Amino acid sequence: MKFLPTTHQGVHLPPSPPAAPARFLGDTRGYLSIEQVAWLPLGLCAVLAMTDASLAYVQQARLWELARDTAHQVATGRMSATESMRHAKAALPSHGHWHVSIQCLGTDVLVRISSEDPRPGLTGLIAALDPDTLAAEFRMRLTSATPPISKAP
Amino acid sequence: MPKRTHTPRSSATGLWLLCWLTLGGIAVDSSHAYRQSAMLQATADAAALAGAQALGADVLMPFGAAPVANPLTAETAVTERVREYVAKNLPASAAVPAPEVKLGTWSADAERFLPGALPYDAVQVRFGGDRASESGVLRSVLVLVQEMAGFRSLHVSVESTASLRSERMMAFATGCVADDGALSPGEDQRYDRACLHGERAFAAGRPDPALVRGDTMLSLFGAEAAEPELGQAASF
Repeated sequence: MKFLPTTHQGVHLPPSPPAAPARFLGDTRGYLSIEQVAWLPLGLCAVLAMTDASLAYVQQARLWELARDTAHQVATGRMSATESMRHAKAALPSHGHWHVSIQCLGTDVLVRISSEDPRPGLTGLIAALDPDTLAAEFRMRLTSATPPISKAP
Repeated sequence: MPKRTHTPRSSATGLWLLCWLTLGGIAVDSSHAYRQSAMLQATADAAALAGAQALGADVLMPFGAAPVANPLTAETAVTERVREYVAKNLPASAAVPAPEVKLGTWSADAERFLPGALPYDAVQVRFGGDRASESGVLRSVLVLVQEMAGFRSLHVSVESTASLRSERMMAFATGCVADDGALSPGEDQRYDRACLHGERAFAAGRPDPALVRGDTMLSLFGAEAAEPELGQAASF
């Protein structure tokens, strides 16, 4: 015969709650929070990688635009190489160490902009995967390479 | 121990993750498309400028009239020059379709390019996209749906027109930032669908660009006036 606890008046008491581990495993309350916390590191890594990739892509786009502008200034004779170098320097981000070169190769002007930062971006992951991510090389034909036609507008 | 049942709430974490990854994917793809458009726009600018110079290299000299580009030979020369500068600027790994090259006239009155109109004095280079679906809310919604469904990546379309006008080279590019004020380097001024990219002297014909060019080009090509930066690298 199973013994059931009773009060001194003979009334049966409800069964006592299970021990702590069993109670924890049996209780489903809050499991959603636990799942989210378990997935959180993976989600944060994914967000970090996506942010890093986005920043790297946008920065490279800006480098391309700057290289294009610099080459355009020199190619069309709007600025000398010295002035365009100064213009590029002012337009580059203040952080990091940048390498800019302007070369005249025959009929072309070649502008190279690259970063010497070993770990650009948040993690440096994208730059490690694609070394060209933080570099731009642009070539434009000098407008005086061929004599302009003297056509009236 | 009570068995955990599969309730709608149990898939909330997965849905939450899926939403984050979708939004992140769109963000990465958008920035990648921005990078692609910057590269293509720069390449189109260089190709259009070089093509316009090829247009000016081979001219007819009708008696008593201003010289005009030879329409019989101009197209071949311009197309070859455009392809040369596309190959010089785009990385070999960039899977980009061949550019569309058009010859025509730049209408100063209408401030737009007239393809096929004679005499040829302008070259337009275009990468990708079909003109009918370039903009609009529907287009944006379609792109968003396509991105979420993974059908295809964002479609990038750029266009650049270079025109030979009275010894001045003008580069016009679409899709730039509108700016009605004075231009400064790096800024753009919009004319309908075309806009001048950041070159003040060539935009509004400001004081004597030939003098500036002559001065600069002398320093570029003259041995005695070579600037120290040319052919060298500078870092800061």
